[in-house]
Amino acid sequence: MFWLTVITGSAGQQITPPPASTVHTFNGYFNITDLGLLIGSPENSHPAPFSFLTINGFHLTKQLSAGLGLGVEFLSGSYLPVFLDARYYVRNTNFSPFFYFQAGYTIPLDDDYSNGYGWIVDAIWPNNYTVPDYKALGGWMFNPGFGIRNMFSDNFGLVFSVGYRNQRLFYRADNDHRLLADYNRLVLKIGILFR
Amino acid sequence: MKRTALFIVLITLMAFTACRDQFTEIFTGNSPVYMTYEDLRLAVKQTAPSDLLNPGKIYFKDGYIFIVEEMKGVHIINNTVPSNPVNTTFIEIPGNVDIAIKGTTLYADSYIDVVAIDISDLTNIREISRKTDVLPYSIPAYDTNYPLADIDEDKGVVTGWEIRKVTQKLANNSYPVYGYEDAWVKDATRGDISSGISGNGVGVGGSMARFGITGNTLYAVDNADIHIFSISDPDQLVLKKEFNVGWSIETLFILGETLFLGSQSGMSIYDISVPSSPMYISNFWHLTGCDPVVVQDELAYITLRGGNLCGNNVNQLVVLSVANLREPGELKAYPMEGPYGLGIDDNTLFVCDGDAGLKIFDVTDPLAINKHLLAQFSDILAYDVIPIDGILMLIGDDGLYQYDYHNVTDIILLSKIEVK
Repeated sequence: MFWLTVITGSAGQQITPPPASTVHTFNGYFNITDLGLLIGSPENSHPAPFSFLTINGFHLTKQLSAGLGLGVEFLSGSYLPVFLDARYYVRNTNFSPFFYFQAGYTIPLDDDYSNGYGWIVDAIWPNNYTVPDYKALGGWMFNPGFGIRNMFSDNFGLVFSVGYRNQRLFYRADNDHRLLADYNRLVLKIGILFR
Repeated sequence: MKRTALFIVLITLMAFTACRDQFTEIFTGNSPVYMTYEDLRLAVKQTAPSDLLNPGKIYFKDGYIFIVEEMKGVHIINNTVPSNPVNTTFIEIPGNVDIAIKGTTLYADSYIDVVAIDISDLTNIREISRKTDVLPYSIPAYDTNYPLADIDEDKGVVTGWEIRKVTQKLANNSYPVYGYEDAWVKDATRGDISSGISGNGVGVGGSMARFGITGNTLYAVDNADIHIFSISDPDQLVLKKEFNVGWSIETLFILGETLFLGSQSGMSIYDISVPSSPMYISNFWHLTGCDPVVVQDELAYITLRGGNLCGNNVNQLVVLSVANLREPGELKAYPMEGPYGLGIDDNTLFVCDGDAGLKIFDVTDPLAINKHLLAQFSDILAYDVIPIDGILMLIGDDGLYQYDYHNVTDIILLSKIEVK
């Protein structure tokens, strides 16, 4: 909450939107690199892990862009998300709300998934049955959201966004033992935009 | 506008912080098969005699042998002529493991219930009363090569397991939840005892008894608690009291006004001169192991058995002095192979010693029992034994055997009822 207050406060106090009449030419290549949190219930074993993403894309039109993103996240282990990113800017101005949609696959960076995270042990295990060692297989993600872009110059701007993240991760152990982890998280991001 | 946006963000944030991660497990495991509580309470009935399939505890009264068919019910054997026992009838009692009889009333556990059954007329056996939801929720033995699926107690009791593909949610706990590992898993191999005669009109229990009767009081022990019922009126089972008596309780033995509870870590002694209010007297701690207890006069005999279910690999026959109930003391311990039940008749002690077979000792000198091995029958494998008046009733995985032990060095097989 403190983090959110800082963001919203700084957005209100430090980032003064330029006049709406200030229009840059929004076309060609861009990069958005953002950092944020995937926020869920405090009772989750990982209530607010970090998400670091970078997106390289092109403007298809002045208000519509498409890109390819990757990054690193720490949901319950380390993952590399690889995804497609689409954005629609409401205005063709420096300060513009936008909607975005991301979909892709997260690739596990750790070979093995440890049982030490706690949520596996709820199952009822007979004495001589070994709790399986899961191997992370990764899984699908999609992430719709909205945000605000504020350009300070032709080449540089800040991006704030709020989104919904749905993430399913697959795990597999011996004896065809599988585990599906479904995350529903609020995504809060702050990023920089280069053109 | 800014405040509205902030408000929306805050509301959204609050909504998402309520979101718990969901974990779904898919595996091949023991999936419970349920019997509803309604069906359970209508299930006790008499049927035609049936073959022994998985015999458990035995009980003897008035020329009849009662053999528990694990989790299924009770076989009644007319043993008026031990050389020719007659399988007379069967009582279906789902979830049954323990029995005790007073007069013409048989008391039995049926999963979480205790039922009183009128056996005065063996052609018209009927349930006469029941105390519901008084014993812990228990589950039958399962295939330990597979994990257990979640159990929904609202659906009823678990009567069995199917090995199949299970899909279930996992809670997001950050600490171990052992669930039913701590429940009272009913298993015939856990604990053995001979409960002895405890009053007029009460039968003799075999090994593994967790039920015992003295006067008008029925005692039932589960893994941790003792449940005390008044049975002065068989038509109305009344739960008088229940309280914790330790952990890993396995056996119960009553001698006069003293109650002995055998657990995996020791033996507890209670004064039951006021039957409804046992008073703790003392405890004797020993190495972890399964420990049936029999008591005669001022001596208690305990067999400790090691193994997977019992903690360690100590296999012993331990003799305790209980002359002073406040300070039971070990007199001597004798190595054994893997003892199960035991029974005593005067100075003759019968020990079912696993693969070593049946051992018969003269215990006149409790400090030199090993020097007075009267006989050993390595071909007699049993886990439960009742010796009465020269007739030894013995139950094992392969059936009920009866021997004449008037001459203990030359015991004679009188009859057997084999497991089919």
